[in-house]
Amino acid sequence: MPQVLTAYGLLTGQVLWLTEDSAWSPRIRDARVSDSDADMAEMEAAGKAAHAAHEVFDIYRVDIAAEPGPPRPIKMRERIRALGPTIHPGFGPQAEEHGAD
Amino acid sequence: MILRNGNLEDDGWVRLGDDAPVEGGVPVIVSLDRWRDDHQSLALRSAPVGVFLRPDQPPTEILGDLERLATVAFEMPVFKDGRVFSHARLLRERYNFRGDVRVFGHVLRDQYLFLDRCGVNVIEVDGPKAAEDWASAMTELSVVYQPAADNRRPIPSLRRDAFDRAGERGDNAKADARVRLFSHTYGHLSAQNLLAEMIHTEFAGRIALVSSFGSEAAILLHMVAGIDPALPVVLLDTRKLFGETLRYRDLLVDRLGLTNVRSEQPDAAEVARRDADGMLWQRDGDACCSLRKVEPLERALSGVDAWITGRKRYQGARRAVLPVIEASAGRIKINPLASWTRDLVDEYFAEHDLPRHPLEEDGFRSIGCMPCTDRIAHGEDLRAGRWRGRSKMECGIHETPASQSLTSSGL
Amino acid sequence: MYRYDEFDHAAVSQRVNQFRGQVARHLSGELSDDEFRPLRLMNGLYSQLHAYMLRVAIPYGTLSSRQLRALAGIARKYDKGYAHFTTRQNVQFNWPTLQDTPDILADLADVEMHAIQTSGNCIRNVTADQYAGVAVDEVTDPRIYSEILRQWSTFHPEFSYLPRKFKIAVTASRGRDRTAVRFHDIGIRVHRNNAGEIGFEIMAGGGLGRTPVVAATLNEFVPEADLLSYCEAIVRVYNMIGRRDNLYKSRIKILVSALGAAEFTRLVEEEWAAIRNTSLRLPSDDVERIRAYFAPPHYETLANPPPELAAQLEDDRDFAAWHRQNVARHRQPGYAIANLSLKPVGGVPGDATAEQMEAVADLAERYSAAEIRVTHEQNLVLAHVAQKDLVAVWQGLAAHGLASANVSLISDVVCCPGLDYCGLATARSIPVAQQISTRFAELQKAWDIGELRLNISGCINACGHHHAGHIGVLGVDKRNEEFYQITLGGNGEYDASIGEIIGPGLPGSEIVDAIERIVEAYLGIRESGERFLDTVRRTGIGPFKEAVYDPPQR
Repeated sequence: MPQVLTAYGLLTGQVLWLTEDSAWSPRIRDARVSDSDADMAEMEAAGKAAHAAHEVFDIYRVDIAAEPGPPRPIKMRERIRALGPTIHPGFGPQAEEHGAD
Repeated sequence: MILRNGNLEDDGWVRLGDDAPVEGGVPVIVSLDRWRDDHQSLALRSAPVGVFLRPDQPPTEILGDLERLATVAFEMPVFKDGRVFSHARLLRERYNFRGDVRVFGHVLRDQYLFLDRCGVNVIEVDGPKAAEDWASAMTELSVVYQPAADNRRPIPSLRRDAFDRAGERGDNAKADARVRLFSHTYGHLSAQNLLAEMIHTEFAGRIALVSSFGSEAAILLHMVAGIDPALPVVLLDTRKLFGETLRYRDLLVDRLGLTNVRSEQPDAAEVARRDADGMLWQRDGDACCSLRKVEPLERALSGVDAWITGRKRYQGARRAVLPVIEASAGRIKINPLASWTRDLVDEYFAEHDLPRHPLEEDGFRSIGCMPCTDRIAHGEDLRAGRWRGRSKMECGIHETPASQSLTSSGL
Repeated sequence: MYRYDEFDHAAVSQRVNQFRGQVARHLSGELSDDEFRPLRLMNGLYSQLHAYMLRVAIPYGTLSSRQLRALAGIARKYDKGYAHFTTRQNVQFNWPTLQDTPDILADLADVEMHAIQTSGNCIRNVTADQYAGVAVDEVTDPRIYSEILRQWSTFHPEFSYLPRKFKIAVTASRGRDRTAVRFHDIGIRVHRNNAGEIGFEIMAGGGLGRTPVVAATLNEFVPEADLLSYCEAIVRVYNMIGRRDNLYKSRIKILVSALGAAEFTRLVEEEWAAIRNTSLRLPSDDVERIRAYFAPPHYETLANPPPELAAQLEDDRDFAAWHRQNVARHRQPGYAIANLSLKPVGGVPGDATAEQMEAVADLAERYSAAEIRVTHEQNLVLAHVAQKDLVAVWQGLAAHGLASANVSLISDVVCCPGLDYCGLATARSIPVAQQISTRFAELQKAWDIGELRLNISGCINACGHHHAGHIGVLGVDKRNEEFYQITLGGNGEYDASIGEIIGPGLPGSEIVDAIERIVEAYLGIRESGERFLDTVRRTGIGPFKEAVYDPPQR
């Protein structure tokens, strides 16, 4: 199952996703998708390094749907986490799609 | 290494494994199990012995052994396991253990204070930095709310003293519970902060400033203008004031932007009845003050629970023990400047570029009604020019505490 | 209300500096994640689903208008312009950053507030009746004892690393309990005996969460002077023998249940006997000094009711509706207690914007002794309103969307943040609350239904107190879909009871219909004068189960 790697920014507390160039983005569509154990091992090494550098905390993998287009988490919890509170379309990354609320 | 009461020392003790051989002459700390197995041989050695307890082994396990132990150690496998805090307190407070109480394992510096409070005096540490950590941990929280195994005085106990002092500062004879409470809670504040608390919070909408617009009045008026320019300010216009005072009032009101200054005058009908010729002040000073100041003040303060005055201790022997907060005829009287000195007054005028009362240059230092105010000579009591030649020292709006009445006869 | 003295100021500002140092040490790597977590939690800072969350204590639910303004200021400056009032007289900010948090705490300290011990395995914010000091049915002001306990528990050196969190509530009401006292780790009910002395019924081992338990009474009358020694004995026994091996078994309720209330009481009283006559003893002078802080505000002598009220009620039906539902009796003739609902139709229960908070602060200053209360039902209270001013207050509230006339009705939903915010939640709860308050928006209908407490939790931890709701709704995750389980018959008052599950969970799309069917069933079978809870207690869940799972064909 394809996966992405997520964490929280230490200073901001913001939800972050590991990107192709081993940076962290608040937008899940920037996330690097792993298709293999080797991929994921590389990503987790990047995660570990970012943790050691006091950039992020609570790093874990998130399963995403095997489908084309931007990564879509399987679990509802992670979908909400990726977008923002469903009751406040203006808050969180979803705001870019909805416009300010 | 260990911290003993915060001091870094080499650890002279060896924590022995259950199977490790005992070397002669070395102080050792052993597990409870080993102590139970070997206590006779261990106690026979000349070197001191200690026992370490795991979190699930309360000190009741070694109650009968305490006299033979120089150290009781507690293992903290994880810092989050807080049983050690209870165990250490019991050891110290209930079982009166006077030897070393030691902890080792996963101990955070953020726990040093609480360990100390619970009676732990030895902490096994990694390196010298721990001593610095200990020192800052002991000072970063200096107040404690509850008794424990240490000798820090808890706040409730400090507070009892502070309240007693507040009671003494207040007029003891009349100090009701409210005065003590306010004195305790606010007595340590600066004049400005005290005023802000009283005006905005404690007596919001139910407090007034009574000002003479005399020689030092500009200070409180300036402070009040910064806090709430609409605060009621009462001037008792006795109709005997100096023209300079009324002009000074207008100048200050304008300069400071005060929007609620009221001049309270004596009741015209009463004046006609009791002081038709306007000479009552000469015949009976007290009756005149009553008519022209005390009664109008009472009217001005109706609906108000607290009032602010500018009285200061240095203004004369009669005011030498003036409290900051006092009870007065069912109201609270606030004297924010009670402790101010002449120098502070002058500094404040200079710093805020406040205009002086026009009569001051002329030698007047305490300015009341024209007929009863005189200049003072150098070195005289500042209020010596008031009712000069008479025993009267206060007009009656600041009644004299009974305990201090003896001072009047000497003056 | 209570005011900090120099000692309290020192304690809180030192704590802010200490936390600032801890943050710096964490950012430098000196404190690991595991080590920093309990320290930040003990200062109220969580990591939630989307961001950090800061929980600020409102001790015994009393706030000055100045404090409420400061909360509004923090919402605006450091957050997204709103705050959330919780089910334990706390307020939460959902979007602060770690770097801002020490500054927020410093802003709070300026107005005598803090986030100390609002989380973590320590003694939490001590709550009390929101009607304290104004209730017609109280023995004495319970906040006096809450404040004494607040101080005793603050930075308690022995009790900062307990097996699990620890919550205390104090009530002094003779009539109805407004604190859920029997669902607390320690519940304290103030009594006065025949000799006129104050004492406490001490309960322990209550709680909700995954194992709801109604607290047992350990002692019917602990003298006032022994309040702290008795509580210290309970917490010490718990700290020493409470379970630490299993997160879900570590609350005191598990210990009390395992030992039995009698044995637990024996252990507590044995410990109590040893510490009863130490400096924990509470001198009556100390109590009186704290009591003086809670002296009533200045009340005028007013007509009760004011002559104009009848006409005002007749003139405006909306005002009359609000007056009927949200205004409670006050002990002072001519005054009233005004409840402010934070449950507008379709709104987020317990949320208030910075503008709303400031509007309430304004109204409190003009009409209610500059003081505000917060309730464990996530509403606000103006506790000292002259009845002649009620119209003006209501108009002021209505102008800011705060005049919903639904306090203690079905649309006054108590609700945790759920999966929209919370990292632990398994389902969303706020959208369900929004649908329910919309479905039952019509006041006439809600009145007909009458008093009905509806509580929603988004997971088994039960922050929405669903076990204590007359109707409880628990959100669960079933194969990645939100399902909701209904319980009936819960109640948080003195006669506390735990709701009974009526059957399998229902998908989110069916839950509101199911609740409506339950309500219809109640309307069909209630006897005269019966509240929903009374009917459930009389009939059991049978008729409601049938209404939900086997409705008659229409």
